[in-house]
Amino acid sequence: MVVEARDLWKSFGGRAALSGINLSIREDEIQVIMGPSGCGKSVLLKHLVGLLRPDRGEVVVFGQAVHLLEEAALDAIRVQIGVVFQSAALFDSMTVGENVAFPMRRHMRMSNDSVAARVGELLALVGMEGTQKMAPSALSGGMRKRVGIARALALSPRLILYDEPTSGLDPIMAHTVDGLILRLRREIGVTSVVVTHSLDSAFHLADSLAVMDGGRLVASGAPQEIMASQDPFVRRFLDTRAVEVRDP
Amino acid sequence: MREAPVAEASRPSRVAALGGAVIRGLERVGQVGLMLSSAARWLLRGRLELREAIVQVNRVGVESVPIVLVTGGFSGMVVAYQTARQLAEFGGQNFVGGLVGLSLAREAAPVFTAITVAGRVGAGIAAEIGTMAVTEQIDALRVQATDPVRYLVVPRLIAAALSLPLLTVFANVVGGAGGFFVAITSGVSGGAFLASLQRFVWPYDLVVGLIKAFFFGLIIAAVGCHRGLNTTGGAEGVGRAATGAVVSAILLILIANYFLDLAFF
Repeated sequence: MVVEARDLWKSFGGRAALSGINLSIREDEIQVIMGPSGCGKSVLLKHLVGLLRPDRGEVVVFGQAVHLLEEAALDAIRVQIGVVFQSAALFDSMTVGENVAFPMRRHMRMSNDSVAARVGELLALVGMEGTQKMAPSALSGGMRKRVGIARALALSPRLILYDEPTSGLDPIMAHTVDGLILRLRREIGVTSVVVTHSLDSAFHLADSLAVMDGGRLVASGAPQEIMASQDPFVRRFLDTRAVEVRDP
Repeated sequence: MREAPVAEASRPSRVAALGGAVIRGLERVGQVGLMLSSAARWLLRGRLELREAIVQVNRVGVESVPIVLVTGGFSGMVVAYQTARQLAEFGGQNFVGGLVGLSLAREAAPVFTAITVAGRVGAGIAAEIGTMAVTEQIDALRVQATDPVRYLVVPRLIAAALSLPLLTVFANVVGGAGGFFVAITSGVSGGAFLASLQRFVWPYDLVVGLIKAFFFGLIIAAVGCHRGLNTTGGAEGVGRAATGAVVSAILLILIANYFLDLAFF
């Protein structure tokens, strides 16, 4: 297993965000975590990379107990994980090229030419070639997300965490980003965890699906199993997908 | 049907509110202490972000020069104007240079410079880092195995601690020149002004003023960074962080100034 969360509990100001989450993620698979806004998906994701520590329970990533590690030891794990933030979280004091180069400049001994070449390569991979000199503020939401993906890939991570990669995007751009996630898994063979509330994205991407509600994992399994689930919340959540089209 | 009585929301007593404020204040002091100890560890290990530090020296120091020259100059002028008028009544015009020099070196130059920079730079630091916090850029730094204290806080601490004494030197020089100009236009002879300056102002006064400025610089950067890193609540939170950073920094500068005076004079 690449990631294991065992009996994870977390609350903020007395309000439970995670209530006894158990989740295992296998190598090379795309694990989708879906659920409504505020159900604890992003909180769970932040635990996997040590941005949050659980009140109780364990988080094991690459065999290491992330919840027990000091920041310095966590950094050794973090360089093997790419994170794509909901807001892309590009550094707005830097250009697109500098953003993508940032992890390489900090953690790899590379010449300027090698960094520039790798930045060009990564931007081309996400369909953003030639944007090195642009400011993040000059990009659309979809473009920022794709640059965020390029930055997350900079250190060739073994695991990529995507936090709502398609939220706020138009359907065509959302489909493009989904296609990119699938292509990266196919071409690079990276394990991916995708947090989303989009049913289309979830069923398009998932090898394995987990459904969360109110900080609890209400169902998990293959997409077909989730589709056939009789859990009332899962049914209600899935039924929102059905759109009735009436004849005029 | 009879309505059920609605429980009146219990209001915290004044004592409880005061206690809460004290606890929050102590928490903040603890957080700043932890941040500074982490910054000190990076400094001791010699792991400096030189490029970032140079950028910050430019922002904190170089870009503050014009406003510090104006505040420093007018501080010297107003001190000279008041002392020349008051001392003239007692025939003590020969002391104007000394009074202007001492006031500037010990208090006016370091304190006014610090307050000016707190308004200009402290708010800027809190707003910049606060914006990074609410847009997940601080989280992005951390997941890229980059400690925000090392990358953001240490360069700003270094820049402010180095820049404030240098800006205070400028304020002393320009304030002294402004004071000299006002004094001679108020009837004090140039020679008497300079003689009094030499007689009353010792290198110790100037050095202590610069030491105070060093601590004020640390206060401005530490408060700005702490407020920024702990910003929540979107654009409104960023605004609160910037305002809070200026108010807290000015209060702490004035309090620290008193205790530094007790320690040095």
